[in-house]
Amino acid sequence: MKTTKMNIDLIVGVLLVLVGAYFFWLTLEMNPKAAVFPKIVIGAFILLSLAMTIQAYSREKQGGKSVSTLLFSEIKIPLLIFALVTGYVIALEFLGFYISTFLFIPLIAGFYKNKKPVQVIATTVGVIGFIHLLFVVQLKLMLP
Amino acid sequence: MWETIFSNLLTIQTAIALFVGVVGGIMIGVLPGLNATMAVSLLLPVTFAMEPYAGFIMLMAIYTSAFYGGSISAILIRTPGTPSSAATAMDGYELTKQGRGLEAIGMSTVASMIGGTLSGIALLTISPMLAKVSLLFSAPEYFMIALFGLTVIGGLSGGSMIKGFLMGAFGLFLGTIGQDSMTGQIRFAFGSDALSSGISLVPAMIGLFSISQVMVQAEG
Repeated sequence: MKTTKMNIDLIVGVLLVLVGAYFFWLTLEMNPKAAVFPKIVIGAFILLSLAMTIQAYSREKQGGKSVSTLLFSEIKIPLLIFALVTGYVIALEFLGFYISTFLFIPLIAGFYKNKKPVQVIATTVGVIGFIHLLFVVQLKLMLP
Repeated sequence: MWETIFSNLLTIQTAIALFVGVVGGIMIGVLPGLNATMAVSLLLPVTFAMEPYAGFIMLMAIYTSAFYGGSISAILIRTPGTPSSAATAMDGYELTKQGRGLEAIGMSTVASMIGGTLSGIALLTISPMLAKVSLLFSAPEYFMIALFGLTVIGGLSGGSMIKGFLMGAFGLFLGTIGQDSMTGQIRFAFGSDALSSGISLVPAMIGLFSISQVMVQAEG
């Protein structure tokens, strides 16, 4: 396990510059009139990300308490949760709401080491049933 | 006239309608993703069999109670039940972390009561004048309101203005996702029908508050 502290502002700044550059590249293929406002906004986004990166780098060089640092172990679990939620959202598109939710809730329960099957099954059935009753039966909406 | 009004309002059916409207509105407002309008839609069929006065009172009770209900989840789990409770989540949850959640809910209840009463009086008395003023608003005023909203970022940024404005730019970028109103060009949808219509307020709010709170809880 990595024990060195990461300069989180520097890493996030670099990632945001790359993400901004990618989206700016996407605007080059758009209708010129439709691309004006996104280009302005993404341009500002890239400049501000660069500013944050440069600020983080200069603070790291100077040292002191103003540098925002994190251990990878501190953000490992939140990143895993985020990955699971992202996987659930993608699964909604391909498997639909009922199957995705039926798989996701027990998965999260297992992740948090909940070993009570009655609780997990009751929560899964309860959530799916409640949303089905409210949105499909009462509001006549279609779920993914 | 007053006798007719009071004789219609002070009935058992009206009292029951008021009670059901308040309880139902609060229960629906507490649930993130369901707003006051949806609460009215859900409970509207119940009013079909009622007297007109009772039906109207129930609908008004549902609508106002749903806004109050949104503040309960905003205070207790930092997830606004309605979009209007987003600001409540920021201060209310801080009180909950200090063990003063009940106090925060009490303050929210009193504030909702006072605000609802004053706005009801305003609606009855000055709404025709307010309607004339609202018709004077046009594109320059909407632009200034949007600009004012962005300047609030400066106040909420805390220690780092760069990070605050960076997130403001990110928020503006999220607003460009979907169909452009002038040219019809679909922007940044990646072939998804859901993204073609853009990112609406409720999903953005749930993503901002709920998902981040889940990750914060996981960190703990």
